[in-house]
Amino acid sequence: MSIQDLIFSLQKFWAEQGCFIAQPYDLEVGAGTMTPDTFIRVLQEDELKVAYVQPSRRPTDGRYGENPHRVAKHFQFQVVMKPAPEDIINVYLRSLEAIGIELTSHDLRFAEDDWEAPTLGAWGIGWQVLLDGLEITQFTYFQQAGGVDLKVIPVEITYGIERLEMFLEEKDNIYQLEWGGGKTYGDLRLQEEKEFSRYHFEEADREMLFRLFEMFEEEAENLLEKGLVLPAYDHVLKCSHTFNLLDARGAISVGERAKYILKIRDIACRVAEKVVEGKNG
Amino acid sequence: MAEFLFELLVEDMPVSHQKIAREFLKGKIEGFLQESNFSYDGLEVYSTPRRITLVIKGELVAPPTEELVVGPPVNLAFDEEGNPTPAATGFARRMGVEVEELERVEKGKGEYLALRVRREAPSFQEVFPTFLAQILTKIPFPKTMRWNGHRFSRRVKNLLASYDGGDVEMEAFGLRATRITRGHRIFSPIFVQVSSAEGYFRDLRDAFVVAKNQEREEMISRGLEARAQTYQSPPQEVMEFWRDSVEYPAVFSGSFPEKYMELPSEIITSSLEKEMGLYLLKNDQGPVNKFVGVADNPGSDLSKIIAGNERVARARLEDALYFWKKDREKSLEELRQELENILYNDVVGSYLKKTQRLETLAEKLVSDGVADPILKEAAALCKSDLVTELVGEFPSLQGIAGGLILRHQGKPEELWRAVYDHYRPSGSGDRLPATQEGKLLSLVDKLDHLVVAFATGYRPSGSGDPLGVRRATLGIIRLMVEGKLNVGLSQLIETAMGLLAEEITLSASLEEEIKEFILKRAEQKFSSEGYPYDYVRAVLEAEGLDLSAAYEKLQALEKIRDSEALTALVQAHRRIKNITSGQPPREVNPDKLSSPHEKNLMEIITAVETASRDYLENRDYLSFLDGLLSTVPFINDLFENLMIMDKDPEIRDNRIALLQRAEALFKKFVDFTRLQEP
Repeated sequence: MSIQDLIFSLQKFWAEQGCFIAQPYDLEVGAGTMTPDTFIRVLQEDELKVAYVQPSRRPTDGRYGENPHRVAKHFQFQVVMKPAPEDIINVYLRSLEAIGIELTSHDLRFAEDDWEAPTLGAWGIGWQVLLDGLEITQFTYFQQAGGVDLKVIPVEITYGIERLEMFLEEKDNIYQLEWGGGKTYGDLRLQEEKEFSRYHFEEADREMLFRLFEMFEEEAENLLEKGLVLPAYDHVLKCSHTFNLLDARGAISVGERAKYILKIRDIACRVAEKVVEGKNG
Repeated sequence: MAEFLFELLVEDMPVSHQKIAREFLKGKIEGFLQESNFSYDGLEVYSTPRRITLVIKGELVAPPTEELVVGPPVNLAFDEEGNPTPAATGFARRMGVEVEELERVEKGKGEYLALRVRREAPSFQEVFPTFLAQILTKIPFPKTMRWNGHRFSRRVKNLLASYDGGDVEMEAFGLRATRITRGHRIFSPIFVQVSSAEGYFRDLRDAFVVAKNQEREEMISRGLEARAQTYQSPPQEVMEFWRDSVEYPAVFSGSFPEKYMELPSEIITSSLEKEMGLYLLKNDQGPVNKFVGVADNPGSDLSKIIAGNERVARARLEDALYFWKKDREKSLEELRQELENILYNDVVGSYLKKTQRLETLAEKLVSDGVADPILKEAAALCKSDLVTELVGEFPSLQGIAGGLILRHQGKPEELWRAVYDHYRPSGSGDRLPATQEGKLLSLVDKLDHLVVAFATGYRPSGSGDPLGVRRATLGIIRLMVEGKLNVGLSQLIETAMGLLAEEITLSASLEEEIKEFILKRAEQKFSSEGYPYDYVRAVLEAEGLDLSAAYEKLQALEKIRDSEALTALVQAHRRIKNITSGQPPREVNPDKLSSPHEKNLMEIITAVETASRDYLENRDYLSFLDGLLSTVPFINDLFENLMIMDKDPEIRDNRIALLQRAEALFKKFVDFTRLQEP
């Protein structure tokens, strides 16, 4: 099964569970959780079933294409259901069977891992799912998002596409994975990893990024004042990515780090407040 | 013989939560059964990641209770002719008996009418399920999940309860108890209907769940015997982790390419144990390129599981090898400069500054002659590994990574070992650093941590101690006591404060507060080891922050605790103190000692004083106590034969002076009058 077949299978499976299949969000994010389809909707809606692929950028994970397991950009398959269905763990197990994993030949574990996204004021209770020692999914019941205690508890299931595919193809090197259409992961992504690692670690213009951060922050504030919640949230995401770039570039000391995270969280929490207000009013 | 069976089915609980739940439930239920007088033969508590199981066996009945209900006073209950008044008939009516059935009891000054009422104890099924439902919500998990208005370690999925094979009315977490549960999630997700505890364990086993923790551990032990017999067995905590991570254990072994053996074994262990739960095998020569693990799988073919784990192990070791090589491109001296960007504390600044303080403290220990000069170098370099990739990836390698890099550079063992060990002891179960320099480095590191925290206004509270100051202090105490460090802790605190005074204003009471804090923790620590509280107080009062001397005195006292010797010493000291308290200090004039009673006492005191210098110096406290004990007959002799308060003031003062001299000798050990007589 190629990566694209894996994605098709997961989309089909979750569509059959009643999810609408969203498309990737068109901004740089560190995880599928950050896109409005998760962050905004879990605050807005009491019933939600959505699934989508989200390319996720984590500049510090870049390894110039030299490490066979680590990349600065990877693909997540994100499922969010609110309220979390009673038998969601069994549904999840069936999704693994749907992509061809015969569970009785393997060792599947739900290992304690309480997920936390400090920049979003969000945390949950859950597990990393290990399949023969390989982490293939983060499985979380959100407890809080944007500093808001969620009354109805959503479940978020995040599959690591590359990890799953390495498992399915039994390969040791991410760049050798079959994408589909006769292409490998390396054909499509290796050059990108090399160039972006150099950009992230060596060439990114720190001064410009610091300025951008301030501008995005200011714009988020302005938009929030004008009641434009969704555009304000886009700028929270831009702040977050800019911060990640600065972090990878080694431009932020540990002390400052905490301050930047607090800044982003502060706006994210105010966005969340507005979303909740909007829902009620 | 009755039997109560209960099972709570839950989404996977962490291993640590299971232990908390088992211990809490066992304690609370035992307490309940004893308090409510339910006779029972056994209480068993088990757990897997997915279930908590209770079995209570025995009569499970409580005897009836008798209550005395007191009515009106007798003098108001009958009129002059002896006929019952309305007070008496009213009371009898309310109790549902005739007046003749009432008895008379004495209470306080008067005599009252009363009735003994026998109450049947409520049945087990009536009260226990309600109690159980309540305490299940009170298990002190460090973190809980919230859902639909409920809270538990994780979502609760099902309740099973049965009394003697029958149904039990019980409700908790929005669920009603039934007699149905489920088997293994993957291998037998069918329903299991239960009618007895024996049947429960048997049917679950058929459904690939081994519900008893001990049985799973035995299965793992047998698996290890079959697959890893020639290697050292894993420690108990690994066994427990394995046991409580699965419902049906299967032991497997695997290997990884020889080239990763270039990595120090600590790094291999961190790569494999953390998250993956694999255990690196060791034989007599040391670690080998093999591991064992435990899968949750009752099948006979584990080949795919082994291949998968080997693949992940290779990937992780490859990463670790990359970090290990990259981290050694710079020396720890170079890395130290990067610590400038790492904040240790908001007020006092970076880790670089911290290492500068540690250097000065180390220097003091060197100049005091307590430490080898190499301690200063260790102090300078000990935090450098905080900026390595290895510690970034495996935070538990802090200290260890730095030590390994120094070892690889061929630095002397005293140096690398000190850095390697200096976070130890990191908890009450952790060992101390192996070397003297390691202990001293750990001591100054923890002491600086404590002093900085207090100096910047931080105080641990009842509910929280995010900076880990209590743990650090306990570390200091253990280093002093178990590590037998002969270090002037007071002076070291003063030096540490002096270094901060250059940066921030220190409050006048700071030094006192820090010392008090350490003493308070020491008091708790020693008491928690079972030493009587009055002994602990007495030795700490005598020795202050010289904690290892205090502890050794405590041990000496403990040795003579139940003997007549201790009683004799306490009584003698009290006798002396009755006379000496409130008296100004005086000198003995030997020429004025007139009676043999005085002269004899003077002689023995002088002799013991001389001998005791060595005893105290060498902390040979038992010999000291022996010496002290030899003075007691002479003290008693003095009191029994002479009036201390003689009419002649000169004689009187000289006798008081003699007793003061004796008391000073007693107090070289402790103030015995503070001890309760055994």
